[in-house]
Amino acid sequence: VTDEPIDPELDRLFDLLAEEERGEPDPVEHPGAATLSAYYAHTLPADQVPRVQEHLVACGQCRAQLLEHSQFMGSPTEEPEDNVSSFEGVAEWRRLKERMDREPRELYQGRNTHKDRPLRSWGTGNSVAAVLAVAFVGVSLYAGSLLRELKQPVTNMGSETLLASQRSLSTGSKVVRLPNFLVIEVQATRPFPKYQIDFEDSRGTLVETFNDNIEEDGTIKTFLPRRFLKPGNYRVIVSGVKGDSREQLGTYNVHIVP
Amino acid sequence: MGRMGSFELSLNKPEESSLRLVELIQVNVERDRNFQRLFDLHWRRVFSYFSRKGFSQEESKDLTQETFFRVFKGLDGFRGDSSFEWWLKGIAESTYKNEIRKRRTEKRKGIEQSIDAPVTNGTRSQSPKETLASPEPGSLEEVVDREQVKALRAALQELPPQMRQCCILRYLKGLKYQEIAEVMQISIETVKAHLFQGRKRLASMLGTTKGTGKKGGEDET
Repeated sequence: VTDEPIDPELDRLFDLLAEEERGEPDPVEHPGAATLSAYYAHTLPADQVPRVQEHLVACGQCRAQLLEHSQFMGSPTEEPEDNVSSFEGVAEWRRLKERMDREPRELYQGRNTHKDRPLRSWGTGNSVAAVLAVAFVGVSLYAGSLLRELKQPVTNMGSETLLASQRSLSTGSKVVRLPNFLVIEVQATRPFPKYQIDFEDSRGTLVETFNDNIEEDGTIKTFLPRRFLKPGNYRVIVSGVKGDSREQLGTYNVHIVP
Repeated sequence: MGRMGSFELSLNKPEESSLRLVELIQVNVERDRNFQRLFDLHWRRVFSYFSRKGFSQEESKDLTQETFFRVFKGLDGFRGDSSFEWWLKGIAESTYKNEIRKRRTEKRKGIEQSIDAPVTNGTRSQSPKETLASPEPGSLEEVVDREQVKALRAALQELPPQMRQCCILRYLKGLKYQEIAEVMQISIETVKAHLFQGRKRLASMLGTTKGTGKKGGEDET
């Protein structure tokens, strides 16, 4: 039930105005996916928000996109589950995985299939076939090496190490360029099942938290993606976690560079 | 080298988790495993999207498959200009449109346009019958109405921006409270307050009769 005051005359005028505006086209220019996405995520600079809101009021197309995205992101409890269990999710993943695995082979076969075409003579045909065979072998070898290369993990990805000896705030700042792997040496008096890495900004606000496992070599390796943190100085707090208890193991200064 | 890049998702921030997974996939770190995580994180959302569009469970599964297969093929091209979820929804939307186009093509033959068929895609277009029956403008009543509508338009401009926008979205665009709250990124209570105040101010500016009761309209927000 609304709290809007009853006013039939005003409603009638609104209806007439709505009727007048019904045929009006949407604005020609739109803010674009990046801006709308940032608006939805509340990350758009404050000075741009009024302009986007004004556009959303006028543009049915962008409004529909935003509302649909909002519905898309809605919590699972609001979504029609349609009796889809997580078991089915696993089965669906398997089906997708099979398709993903099959696709490169299909592409490979597709490239090498040929339609039967009449040749002018057997001699010409043999020459062409020989050239094609050589080319085919070359391309196959190249494609094979390319595929092998693509399947291999990228090894030129750098990493920055926070040494155990640097685990105090007075030891200066470690420069980390994103994206990168952050390797943290852990020297704990006892092992922990989980390790927590907190990133605090210069004002002491917790910006991000990771939960990682320790590697066999006694380090924690965590991936910091490109868009993970804004450039600036951060305090990295490494803690061991066991159940509800948490033990601080080290604090580092990190300077994030884009 | 150890298991580089192994980590647990910070579930309180699914959007950042997605971005992290996408970048790991893009740099070829545990590609399959991380893609599976991405799938686990979002497949239900995509499935629900197709369910809401009216597809059966089996059809929704197939379309979800298709969407994620396109994601798999296009992920290396994702540059992160928008959030991953926004991009994913765009792919789901494109998959949906393709499916609809495919079905329309199959059914194209034999469809006749009814003279009474007015509604397409939520927007009401004037049917040929309505076009023929449109009254001639020019009566005194219409002239008065036009002037009043003009006055309403001007009065709306006098309202504070957010109040005006709420009124437009509600009374001219027909949005629900919840939808207005989502578009304007404000609470439903603020929407209601704006509408209450907006109507009062407009009524005062236009000199329309204002009732003393409350308008009982929308029971869903």
